Amino acid sequence: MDFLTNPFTTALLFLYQLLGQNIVLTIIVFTLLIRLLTFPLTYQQIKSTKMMQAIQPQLKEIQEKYKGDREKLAAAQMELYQKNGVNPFAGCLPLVVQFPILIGLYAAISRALAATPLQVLDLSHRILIPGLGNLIPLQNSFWVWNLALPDATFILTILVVASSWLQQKLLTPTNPNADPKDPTVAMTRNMTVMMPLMVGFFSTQVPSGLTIYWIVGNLASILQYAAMGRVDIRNLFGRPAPTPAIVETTRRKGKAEISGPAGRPTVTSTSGTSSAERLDEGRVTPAKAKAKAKARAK
Amino acid sequence: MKLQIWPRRFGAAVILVLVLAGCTAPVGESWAGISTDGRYVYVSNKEQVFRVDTIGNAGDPTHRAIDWLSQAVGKPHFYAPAAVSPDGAVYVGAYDKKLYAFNSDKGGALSGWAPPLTEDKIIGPATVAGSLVYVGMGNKGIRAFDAKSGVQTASYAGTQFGVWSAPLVIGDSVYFTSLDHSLYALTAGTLTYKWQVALGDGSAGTPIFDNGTLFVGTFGGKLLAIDTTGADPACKDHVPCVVRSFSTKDNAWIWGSPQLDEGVLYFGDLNGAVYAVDAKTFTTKWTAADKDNAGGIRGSVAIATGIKPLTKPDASKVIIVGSESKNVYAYDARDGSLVWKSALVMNDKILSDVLVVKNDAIFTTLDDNQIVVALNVISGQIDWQINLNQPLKPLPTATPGS
Repeated sequence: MDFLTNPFTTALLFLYQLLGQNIVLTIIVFTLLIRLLTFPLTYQQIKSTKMMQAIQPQLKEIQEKYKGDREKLAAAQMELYQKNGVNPFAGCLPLVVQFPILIGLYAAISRALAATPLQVLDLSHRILIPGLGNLIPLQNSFWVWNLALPDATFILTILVVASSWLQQKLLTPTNPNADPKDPTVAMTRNMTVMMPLMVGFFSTQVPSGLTIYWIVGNLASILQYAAMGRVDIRNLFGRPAPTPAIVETTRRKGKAEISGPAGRPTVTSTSGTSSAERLDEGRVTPAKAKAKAKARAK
Repeated sequence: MKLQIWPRRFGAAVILVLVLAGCTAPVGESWAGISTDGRYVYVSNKEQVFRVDTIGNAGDPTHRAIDWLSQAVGKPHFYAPAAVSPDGAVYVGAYDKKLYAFNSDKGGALSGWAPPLTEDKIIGPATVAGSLVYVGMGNKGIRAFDAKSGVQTASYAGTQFGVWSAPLVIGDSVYFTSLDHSLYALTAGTLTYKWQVALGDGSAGTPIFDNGTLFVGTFGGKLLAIDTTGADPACKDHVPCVVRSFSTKDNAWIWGSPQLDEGVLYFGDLNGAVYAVDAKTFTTKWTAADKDNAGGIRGSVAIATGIKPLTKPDASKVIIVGSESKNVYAYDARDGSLVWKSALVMNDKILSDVLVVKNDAIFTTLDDNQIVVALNVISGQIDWQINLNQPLKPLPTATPGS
């Protein structure tokens, strides 16, 4: 990973010099910059996931239909993908590209916070611009923290747990019709709690500078998804948005059209209303929401 | 169905966390420190400090025994080279913030010494001068302790970063460099501030002193000469200042202390180059490097004199360096030509200083199976080595290479 870590470490040090040798500001700006640079990939990934979600009901139908016949199932799935212009791997590819970048970013911050002789020696070999060597060691002290050491105050740990939980809650779509006993649903629910706790535990073992990176990364993710209209604030209060019903995609001009107005999926429901309309219903005013809730109670 | 995507994402996130943890696994802390009193070699490594008698058994000259080994309770993390006192004590600072003292003859804790607890890890070597032990702190400043009891007698916390160099006591002054880009002079004993000189870069090397001038290397790849008297015309108002500066190629870091011999300074840099520089003029006498095996020279070089190397009998003085490339080199002090390269490649990197004791160049490696190695300065072949995983048992040497 040196081919990624070394340029990232050098860039981090360059930024550190540029930002008045403030390491916290450097970590924040560096994380945001990388997120910004990888945004096209994130966008692609979200878009692809969205398309996959839109055809999920049909996919489920096909799976039910060809339960015992793998070959037919595969053929039908392929046909569905082709019909809708969906590449099932398109969501993974950006992730695969982002993965090493994230690791490089993480490793760069970790390496730059060198505090022992071997770490400093390791860092010395990662600096690609010779003049930056005079910045070593970095000013690791910030407020009550030595950023090269794990957070002894647990303030950052609490913040990283809170921001991770917030991220999970806001970005995880929930299905009101899902069976709570469904193991997948239970797993999702557990993971929403377990992941932040795991990250929290992890933060007690690594330099607190990395915990700051993690917090900024969480907030940046929320912002990115919010910018694409993918954050559902109702998830925080346990009031999930309704999901589109089943469905038949429309083809226009020989090309699959899943995007409807405002970039939302357009799928025709069996009841005759498009899922875009249904999604619009899902984004209704509080008054509409109340009326729906009443109807559900009845 | 939507929900099925998310557990996969959570799975990916879990994998990401684990990969991140793996990819940024701790680099480690340091390398085993080594020092000598002229006969015995003292090694500080992780939880242990031990002594090796460099004089072997006449009947079996290729064996050396660990003379004593002291293991501290807990995880002190000893890496600093031990300071050996003529009064029978060995002082080693540790990452657990304590300064330990051992009986140099028998090992074990020094009687009457209560390891003082400081406020940060001790990374640099201690120095014994008179009745005091001086040592730099990992976060900032230096402290002085009574050499018999361990009671703190003075402290100075005026540096902004840690002190990884050994304090150098000359007359009534203590000199040391700090990672905060300065060299400090304090009054010995009281540790009151005298003056400081800006180095321009961090420094972890212990300065050396010659006739009123201090020589020190920096992380900016500079070797500096500092006039401690301020008498040099380059110094304004008789305030000590940098009077000469030498830059390495590509500003490669100088970490180890330079060694001075007959008016020439010898040192290595982290790009693997070795330099011989005239101490008075700072002009380059020669440079040498192994272009085929890149590896930085972290430690101080050693000078072996009065020898007749097998490959070059007229090279009576050689400069010996240990490299991150796991090789050891001996260069002719006259022109920098290679006299020998270690017959065997070591198991791991050589980051410690190289010491010359009699006819051996002795150093530590990062591998516990080859923690101490002694190379014959005449042949470049291994005379003996210590495997820490078979403690207290003398080991046969490796078969010498071609």
